[in-house]
Amino acid sequence: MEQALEYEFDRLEAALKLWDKNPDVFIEMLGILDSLKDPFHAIDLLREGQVLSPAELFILANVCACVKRIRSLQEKTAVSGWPGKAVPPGLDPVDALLAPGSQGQPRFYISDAYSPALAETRKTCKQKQEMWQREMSRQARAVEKALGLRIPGTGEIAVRKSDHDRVEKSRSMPELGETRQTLAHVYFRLIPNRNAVNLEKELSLLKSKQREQERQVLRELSRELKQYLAVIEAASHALGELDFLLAKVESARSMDATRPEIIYPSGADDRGSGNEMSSGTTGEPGHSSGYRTGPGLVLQDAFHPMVRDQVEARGGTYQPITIELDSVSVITGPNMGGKTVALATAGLCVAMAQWGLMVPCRSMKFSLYDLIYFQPGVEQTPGLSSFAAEIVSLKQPLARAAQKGLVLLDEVGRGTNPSQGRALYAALLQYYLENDTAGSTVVATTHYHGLAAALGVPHWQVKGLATESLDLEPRREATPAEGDGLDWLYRYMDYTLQKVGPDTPTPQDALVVAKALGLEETIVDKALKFHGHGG
Amino acid sequence: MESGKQLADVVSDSGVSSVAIVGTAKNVGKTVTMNYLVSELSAKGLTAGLVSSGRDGESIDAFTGQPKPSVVAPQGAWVATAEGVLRGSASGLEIADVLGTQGLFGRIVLGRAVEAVALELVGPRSARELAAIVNKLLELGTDIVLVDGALDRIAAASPKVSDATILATGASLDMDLESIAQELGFVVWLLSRPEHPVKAIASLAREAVEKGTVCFIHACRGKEQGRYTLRPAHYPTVLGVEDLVLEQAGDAAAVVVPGAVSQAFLDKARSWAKQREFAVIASDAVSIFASKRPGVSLYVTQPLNLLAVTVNPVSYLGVSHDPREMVNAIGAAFRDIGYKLPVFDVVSGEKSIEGVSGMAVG
Repeated sequence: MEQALEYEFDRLEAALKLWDKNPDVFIEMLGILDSLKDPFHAIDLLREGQVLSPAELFILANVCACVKRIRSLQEKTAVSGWPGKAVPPGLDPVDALLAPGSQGQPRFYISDAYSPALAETRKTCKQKQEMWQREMSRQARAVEKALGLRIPGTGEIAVRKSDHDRVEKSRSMPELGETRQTLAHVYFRLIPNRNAVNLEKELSLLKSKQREQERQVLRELSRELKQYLAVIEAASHALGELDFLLAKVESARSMDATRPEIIYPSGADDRGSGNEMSSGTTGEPGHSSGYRTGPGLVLQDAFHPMVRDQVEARGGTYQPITIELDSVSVITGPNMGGKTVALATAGLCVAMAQWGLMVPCRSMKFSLYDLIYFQPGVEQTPGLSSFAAEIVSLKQPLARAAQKGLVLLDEVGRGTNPSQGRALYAALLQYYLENDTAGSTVVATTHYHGLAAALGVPHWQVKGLATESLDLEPRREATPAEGDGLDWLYRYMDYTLQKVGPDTPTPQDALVVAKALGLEETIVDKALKFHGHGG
Repeated sequence: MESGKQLADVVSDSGVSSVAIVGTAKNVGKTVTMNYLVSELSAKGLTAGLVSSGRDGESIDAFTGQPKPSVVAPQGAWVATAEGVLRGSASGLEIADVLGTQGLFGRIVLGRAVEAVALELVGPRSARELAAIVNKLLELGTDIVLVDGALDRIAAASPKVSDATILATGASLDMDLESIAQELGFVVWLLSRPEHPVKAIASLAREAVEKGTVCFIHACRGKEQGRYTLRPAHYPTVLGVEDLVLEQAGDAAAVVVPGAVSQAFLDKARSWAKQREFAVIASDAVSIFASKRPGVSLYVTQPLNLLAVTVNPVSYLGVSHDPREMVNAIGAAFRDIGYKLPVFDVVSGEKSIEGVSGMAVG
């Protein structure tokens, strides 16, 4: 598994280097891939031995054109630099079949070059058509001259009823047939003479012959193309691989992402080395993992790309997080301090790394996980309270406790009474400490005081509102609009995660945050009093 | 009658690169107009492109069972239609593109007629996709794209899709000539809505439409007199919140609605406008869903270029009018309300041209 992933990252890294050297080539490639049509329906038809429609044949011609242009660009940048899977094989014989004698933009037409017989039929058709046209024009001119009227493009002549002479004359002309009458007009159409009628009959036969010959061309072409099925399919897959690779490169460049370092599982002999965070603090026989060589997950300056975009869109500065996680860890911090974002960032980095994508951080070390569990906030499930929904959801990672999981827990038990909620959370974490043998990483955010100390696990804390800012009045009177309290929070909140002692108290910022968000001042003051009395 | 411009001249002289042909009802001769135009424009040496919004050109009219001409693309013309309506070998078409999205009749195929081909036109229904196809056809080398606005698909006339519009109308609109002329007068009035005459207001209105939010335009007071400001109403639409929006109007000179403008909103805006000078500004005429003159000043940010009106004097119910009488009555009705629009019956060749320029004037 690890090797396969490393191979993916090697390819991605090589492509990133190529991009830096040849940015124009990449832009051009993206444009070519953008014009590519999905060929897999045509490929299925070929495999089943069916006859391809002109639209499907056009799509294959389009694939040939794309392959030709992509290959020439890859050659320009030295093919060896490209991962083999993303270099399409040449399709010249297919191209020659699909575009006899054509150049440039992909087009498909059942041209005369496919069949001399078809060419002959078309030629005869055209001649007969012209003869018919001449015959009809001759007749039309005669009628126009006799009546002093022009026959419009619709081929139908309207003669006013009040113009009795003309109506009578029209009716008497063998070249004209009356088609309909309205309140004011009588309408006539040219009647083809015997010659024209014979030509029409011939033309009708020729046209059906032509259609049949065209269908024959399509049948033969489809049969001939079938022998190239394997190479067409290989080229299409290679274009797909290339498209995927370029998309990965583009996304890595856009977020300045890095290659994660994968820690390989090794024997039990490595156990404990560099594992100070979680070793020997509980005295419980919980650390029985057979193959851990160090922290499960180390993130340096990691960021959540979507959250960062939002922060930067409102003119803020995003504060990335740095954290080392292993076994069970607890994160505390004030409301609006980014605890959930920290969990999401960890989950995203691991997911992206395991999908073979460069990760949004300065550096990342991790070993592969079998599952990632994350349930941010409380999902509304019909018929279940938020607490019940949380319990039901927790059964998922617990059912797979034998596998190595990244288990991201966001304030479990917040929906029930604090003392039992805290007890439940502690028990859940204890369960992982005691029973996990797969090397899972469990991260738990909480407002409960003393959870880390009770379990003897590492305690991380969001720095939170700077102490000096606590004295600052969130100048509400000067800032009437709704969003301004938020701005104040964004400005004074320090989202940095720091490792603190297990007993470090959880921040008591809820009332400051509530005040900053513009909650009625008398309520906040009363709350402060209650809080003081209650201890 | 044989002198002066024909409909094809009006179109080719206008210099536009796309024209929507929209009908006021079924059986108003839209397809006849389309065929007439494509053959006349080709005869003038122009490369025409044909596309439809929705489905049209069936050999039998699906609604009335009347025979209906299909569209004939002359040699060299470009067409965009669904692969499902092309016969097996797509005979006569050189295919130059196949678009990705699947419609009811399959993907849209763009091709050039190597020989004259009679075909059905089936196009996409969304204005956005339609506009993309019009652009593709122009890229491929079309001089002028004719957009067939299938039944009730007035969206084809949207300035986002087409540069200009021809309105096809006929006896099936209504039975008696006077009501036809009157009804048409209203449609033409609606489709000819101009920009706000005050340049500053017109420019702020365009800004508001771009924002995609309902906005008010206020006149500045005091030293800044003569200038205007834009105030967003925080609603993306007026539908369902007509009163709420208007309650926020204050002393606004105009409200700009980027989406659909309903009759309900216009009615409410009219009572609002009774007390003061007040205008409703829509993004374009296609977005206004009015059934009668609203009694409030109504403007758009993107006016349509209405080139001409065609009439079909015969309805499928068998009612027929004298083409000359009909053309004249309609021409006169337009003149009465101040529009100089040429009117044509492309079958009989009757026409009424009061202002051959074909430009609608507000």
